[in-house]
Amino acid sequence: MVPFSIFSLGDILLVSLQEEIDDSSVISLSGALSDRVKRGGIKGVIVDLSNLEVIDTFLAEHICKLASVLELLNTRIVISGLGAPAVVALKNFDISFGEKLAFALDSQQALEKIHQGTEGL
Amino acid sequence: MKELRNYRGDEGFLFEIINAVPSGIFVTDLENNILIINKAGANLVGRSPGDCFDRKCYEVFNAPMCQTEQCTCRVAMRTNAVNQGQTTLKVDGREIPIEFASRPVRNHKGEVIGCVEHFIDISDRLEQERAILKQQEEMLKKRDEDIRHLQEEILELSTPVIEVWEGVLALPLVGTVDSHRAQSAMERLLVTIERTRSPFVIIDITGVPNVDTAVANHLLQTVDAVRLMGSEAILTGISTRTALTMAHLGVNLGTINVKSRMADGLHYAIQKLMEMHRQRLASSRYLNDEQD
Repeated sequence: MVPFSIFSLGDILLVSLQEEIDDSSVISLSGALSDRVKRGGIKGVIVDLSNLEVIDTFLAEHICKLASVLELLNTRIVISGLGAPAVVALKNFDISFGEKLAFALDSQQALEKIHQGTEGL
Repeated sequence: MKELRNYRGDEGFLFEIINAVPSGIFVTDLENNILIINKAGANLVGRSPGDCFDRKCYEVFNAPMCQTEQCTCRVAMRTNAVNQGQTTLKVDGREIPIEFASRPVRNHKGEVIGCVEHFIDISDRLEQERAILKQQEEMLKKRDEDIRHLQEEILELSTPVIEVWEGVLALPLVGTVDSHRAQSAMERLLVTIERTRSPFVIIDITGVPNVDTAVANHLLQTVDAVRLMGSEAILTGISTRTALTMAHLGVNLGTINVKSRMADGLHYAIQKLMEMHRQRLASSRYLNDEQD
């Protein structure tokens, strides 16, 4: 059982991460997502982290990498559902997601942000 | 009075006086033999005076310093002065804390021939001191708790998170912003964002008199944390003076959305919210049209 799920919502992929996700699963997730996006027809990817209480440097770094990969493939990525404890922990450990990444309160807002961002395209 | 005066020099009368003293008095010779002991002194160790005569003092009073170089009589005789202190007697398994004073006794030629020791039981006093100490500690603890409680209260009061509009939170900062306050304000702001799901947060620093690099850094951290939550932070209320200092210090607020007044921030947020609402309506209409 993989600790993440990818749902297809038409031209948008919704990725939900589970609490027990480990480093190797993060890498296989990046691979699987990049493959799906490369096949075309994907406008945006929503990564839902609401199930995660702690986000480590490894995951943060990989999400950043994934974002730059997807950007090259002309796909927007929005992180949604970061909880207050997770954000406080991130700030305390000085873990950064970089300046460019987009965030949303929940998946609905993430969806809107993707539509907004791709309107001009 | 006349009769009393006649008794002066009477050995028996002097001994009566010694016996009448409520604290312990005894005299030893150079070999630690007890020559004189009063009633109070003997009673303290659970004996009668007759029981103590010609015994060694270290047998009767079993103190930690007995038969060591610290023996108060030896010290007094060696230094030829009064030696005072506190110790504990061990009598029949009981421990009696005492306070003592010793002074060497001299004969008419001025040679030291013994030592007189005076001691009192201080267990009651120690008990009282301990009680007072305990009381003081409790009071201090209670005061500390009160102060901490008040500090928390002030912290809570000084950084309220207000819902000024549907989907717009306001964090008016007033007074000095130290790292402790900034941290608590940020945590409470994030929790409120999580609960209300507000897309906009207005951080107002009209009430912050001094903005240095540290305060600016706290603000940047808070703004970034808000971004991670998925909301947008708007910084308002930067006074001319603050702007000058920040420019002088080279504080970079490039990534932050800054508006001059809180009203402007609110205006911006409401406008954005309306835009979002319109878009939502448009997309749902689009979906409905597609279904038809």
